[in-house]
Amino acid sequence: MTAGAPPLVLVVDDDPDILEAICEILAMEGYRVAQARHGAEALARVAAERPDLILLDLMMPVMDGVAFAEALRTRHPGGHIPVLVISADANPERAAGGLQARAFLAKPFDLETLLAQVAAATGGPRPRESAASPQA
Amino acid sequence: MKSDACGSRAGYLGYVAHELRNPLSTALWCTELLGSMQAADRGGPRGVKLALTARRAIGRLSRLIEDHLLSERLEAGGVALRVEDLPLAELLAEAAARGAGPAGADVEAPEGLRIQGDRALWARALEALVAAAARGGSRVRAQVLSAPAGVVMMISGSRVGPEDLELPRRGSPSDPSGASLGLVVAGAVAASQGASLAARDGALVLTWPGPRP
Repeated sequence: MTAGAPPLVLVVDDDPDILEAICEILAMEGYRVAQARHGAEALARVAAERPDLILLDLMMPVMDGVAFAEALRTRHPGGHIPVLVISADANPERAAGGLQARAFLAKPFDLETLLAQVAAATGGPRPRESAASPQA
Repeated sequence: MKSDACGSRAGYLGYVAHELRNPLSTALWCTELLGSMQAADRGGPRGVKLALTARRAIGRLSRLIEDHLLSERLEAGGVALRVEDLPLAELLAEAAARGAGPAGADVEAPEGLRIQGDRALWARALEALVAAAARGGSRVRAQVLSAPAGVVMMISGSRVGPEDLELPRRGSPSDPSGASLGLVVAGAVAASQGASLAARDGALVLTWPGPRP
């Protein structure tokens, strides 16, 4: 994490509306956000920006979530970045097929659950009351 | 084989569920955020953006639900068809105007050629076929030929293969516009009215068999 700056969360999803919504949710909560539309794009963002947490969809074109997680482990063996799997599969843990993640959230998950997981993984912003009012 | 059919059916329904959950999530989250904002902020840029995103997601959800239910009802024989004499060139031109993207479409169809069928269903099916050919910003070319053996319509643009006409399964690519069940609906409409839909040389081919008057 950059000293003094809020944690950076990388959101990886091929659905543009999901990307927009989650990035908005996190920005309103006070996080810095980056986004990628598939695993290959996410690898480039990781190399360039070194996020504090990755929210990872599973089914994506070009490079899916499982392949991304494997590539991430290979390319950054020592630098553990926590991953939260977010999937439209009814059972994301099973769909992830052994992918190591901090948590598995099935869409549509509760926003409070997401924000609690993100806060626990990053030590980032809370409480919710102040985050509910939009920031410029 | 029965187990293959069940597996294919389960895979298709898994795909539909996956397609529905993404826009459902967007709509729920955006409306929840809007509800948490101060009234004055809801009219500001962030509120407007959230409202537009929610509206888009609900539209996508609605289209997916309508397409899924229609294809299921057609397959079950549960749609009362209103069969009438239809001007094919006019139907195709209207579908091209609705379904083609900004790149537009070239339509070539003999005037006066008519088919028998349900106007609303064919309008929906033809729009879906044009939209499929327009994917990726492609310009669409639609051509109708009348032969003694029947009427053939070819719609080309973005390449469509035989695999695209199979029922999508879990893991198939999503369509952020909500049109991912369009070809399923078009196939069901064709099958319900004695026509057939195929993919040949990268184009969609719709055939109405039988001699024309």
